[in-house]
Amino acid sequence: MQPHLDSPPKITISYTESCNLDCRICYSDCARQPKQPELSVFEWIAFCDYLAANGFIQAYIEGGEPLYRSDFLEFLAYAAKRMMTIVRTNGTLIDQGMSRRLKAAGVGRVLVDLMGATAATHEWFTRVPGSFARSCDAVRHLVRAGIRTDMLVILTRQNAAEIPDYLRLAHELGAHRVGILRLYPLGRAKSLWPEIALSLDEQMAVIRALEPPAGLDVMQSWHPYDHNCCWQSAAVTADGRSIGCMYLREYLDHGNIRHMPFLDTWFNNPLYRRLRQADVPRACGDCARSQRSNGGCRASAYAFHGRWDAPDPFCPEMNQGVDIRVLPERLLRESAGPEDSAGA
Amino acid sequence: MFCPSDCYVRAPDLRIRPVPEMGCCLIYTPSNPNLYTLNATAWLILELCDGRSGEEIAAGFASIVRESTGQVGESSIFVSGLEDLMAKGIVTRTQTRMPPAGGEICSQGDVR
Repeated sequence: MQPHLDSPPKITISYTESCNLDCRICYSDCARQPKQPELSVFEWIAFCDYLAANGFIQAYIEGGEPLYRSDFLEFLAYAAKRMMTIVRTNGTLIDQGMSRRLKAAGVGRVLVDLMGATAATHEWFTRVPGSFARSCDAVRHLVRAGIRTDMLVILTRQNAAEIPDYLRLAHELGAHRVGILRLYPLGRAKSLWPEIALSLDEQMAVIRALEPPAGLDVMQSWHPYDHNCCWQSAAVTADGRSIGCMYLREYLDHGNIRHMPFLDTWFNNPLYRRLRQADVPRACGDCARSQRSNGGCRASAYAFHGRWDAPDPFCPEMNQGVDIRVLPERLLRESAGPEDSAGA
Repeated sequence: MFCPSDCYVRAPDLRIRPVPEMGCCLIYTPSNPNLYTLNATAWLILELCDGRSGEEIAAGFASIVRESTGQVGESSIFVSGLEDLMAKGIVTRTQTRMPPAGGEICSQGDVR
């Protein structure tokens, strides 16, 4: 059942962990300045050459806010000649001129985070007045520039009732697709969890009620579409750590690309290899059939159970009575940093 | 529209990433940035588009299908597959026979 890849064709890159917004639930706990020394544009370009030479054909680039770094377009234009690029952004730095520069750079797709259908909701999260209008304008500019554009929303208590309006807003702005994402207990989201997390029943009710306007695609990964995508996951943080998946950023460190070739981490790190095998004792049959992968998201499973082979509590078939509004104490204690998984 | 006397080649700037483990091939088209997943049938048609005529490509497709499955490949599947590759900008038509335009085939890294 579990798919197998000899080597990965796609990768996710966190270009920076700096940002111009102050989101209450930022998974990277971003500030205006990065906390760690980040890869320079020259290092990213050299890494891009390495990726292209080793069969990578898609880079999903996120942050932080990638466009907050002044050298980002240089990297993007270089990468887009070699592989499909997808850029995730808060959109606030994209005006008409920037949308044209992104088009000229060859970006393949842009994903704009909007945390609600209203300025009040969105800006409660971002804590920056005017950010809702700027992000909405970004979607319009990107669409007019001929760039395929998605909107992304992380489902929370604050925006759950707005999801129908959110789909209408996306359609009006011309977005091609909406992604509804689950909430992860990472970064600043952990301390706010009791205020923002919905029960699984509440989440499923939102998902079941989705009625997107004609022509608007919706992506979501709740039952029966809960996938374990570790089999294909490759990700590198802004400071060079290979971590498999961005949602594993607080849990894992497979090695740093400043010190070893990325594929050495893919081939040789025992925990990375184990996660790709998805050897999980309990899986949801419906999700496994639709996604061709077992056990659901490993980041969610590990967050709530502390085991890599645990069932994903965000699927009703695998929930096992876990109240996902309540975080395990283990996650709330001060983080000791990611686990060096080389000896796992 | 497919024309047997025209020649067909891969678009010049493609990046091609075979994923044999999954029975598919990923194609990146930088001039109109998009990533496509080709199934085995479309992948075979792409491999045959090396500057040969449509007639030769159709014959090559039928021959390989017959050898590998023992069945006669339906020409409608071939024609719709080739037209789909052209619509996506993966294959282009030329009036005269050309040397293969190529398309860079990605290696898959070290297989260990």
